[in-house]
Amino acid sequence: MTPAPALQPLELWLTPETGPLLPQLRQALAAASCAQAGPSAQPLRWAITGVDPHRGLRLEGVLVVATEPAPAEPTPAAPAYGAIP
Amino acid sequence: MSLAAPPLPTLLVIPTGVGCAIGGFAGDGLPTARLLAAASGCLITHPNVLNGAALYWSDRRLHYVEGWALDRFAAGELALAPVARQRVGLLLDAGIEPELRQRQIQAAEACRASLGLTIGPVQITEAPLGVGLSLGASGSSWGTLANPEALLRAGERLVAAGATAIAVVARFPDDPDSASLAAYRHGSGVDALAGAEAVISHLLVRHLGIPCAHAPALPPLPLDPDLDPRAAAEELGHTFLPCVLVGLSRAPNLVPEPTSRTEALHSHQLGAVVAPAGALGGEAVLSCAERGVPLIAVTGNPCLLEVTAAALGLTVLSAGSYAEAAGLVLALREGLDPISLRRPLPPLSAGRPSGGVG
Repeated sequence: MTPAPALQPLELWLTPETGPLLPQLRQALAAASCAQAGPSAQPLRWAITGVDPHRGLRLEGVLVVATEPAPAEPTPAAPAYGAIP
Repeated sequence: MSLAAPPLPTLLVIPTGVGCAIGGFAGDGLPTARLLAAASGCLITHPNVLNGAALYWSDRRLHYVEGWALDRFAAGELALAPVARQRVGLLLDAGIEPELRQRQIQAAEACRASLGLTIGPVQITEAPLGVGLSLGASGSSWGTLANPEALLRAGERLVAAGATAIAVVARFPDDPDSASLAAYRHGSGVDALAGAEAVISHLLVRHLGIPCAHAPALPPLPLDPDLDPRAAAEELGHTFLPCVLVGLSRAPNLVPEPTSRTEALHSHQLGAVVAPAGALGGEAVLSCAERGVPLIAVTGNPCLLEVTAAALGLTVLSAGSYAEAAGLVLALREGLDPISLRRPLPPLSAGRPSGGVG
């Protein structure tokens, strides 16, 4: 059994540095997810939805949050890609 | 001997729930997808583009890939393996009333009997999913589930019973008198259901690793004589399910990278990505752009977002319409430098190559 998931909205602003944008977005999303909902939280869906000259880029998304502790040795729920951690 | 150039695998993204003038309604992105499939010979796109309730178009050049899997494909984490057919399991929300549920099952029966699709088994969730609809700060739609666990467990049961793809039907809240629904039916505003639909299908695909897509269960709406043609596909019948079943019936398998499967389509083979010029901030588009895949930004598909190439520092090929975008895809497929088709033609200079994106 994987932990029961819950869903939460996420919104954050980011002023990117020079250089590739996507790694910065992923890092900021991971940090904001953890800060908002704990280390089990992961972005399920996100996009840049706004641009502001002062605040930077607005990201909106939905988080998946495990609401129970993960088992010590999780068994894959399915034969292919990615189970909820 | 064919005179046609080899296919140019092309990604078409029309984001869900942000009010795109083309593709923001009920399968009204389909003509665009057909055109780009013909121009490219291989188009990968997502259910929001291809689903028109009872209307659909089946074309072996069109690859039906759910949005979460599309993002992972673009990031190089999944490959797409073509299949002759999928066995599509039907996952029904326990919150659907018996008569409406029977309508969904009859739509599936019709697809078996009239189209020859392989459908089944059917699973009903152990508890109502509890779909809730919301709008984000940008005005884009999103949604949530009160009971995502029930969705995932029903999906697991379907996989255990032999399903290789899953069509999920969830009961969505009734709101026939809302201003947002009226605006949508009259051709403005956002599809309020689309964001929650994406959340449902993303959850399932992420968890199960197989193709999944969603159709909402709603009772028929009262007749509206002023209905916008782009929303008309959702007024044709009792369910939105047939397009999902057809799309999933030949949706490619999702194969974790790296894979040596020779028949699989890999993200490094992508030759172009096409997206609305104001909605370039999604993961798939950014993944492609950062790997140097030519990005065609269509200014003729406005939406409520203004996330442009200039704002993100991206280099794009600008197209005024999808017809122009199809011309650019065809040029890339034929090995033509798109810059050579425009005037003025900038001269060569030291340190600046000709070629591609500008």
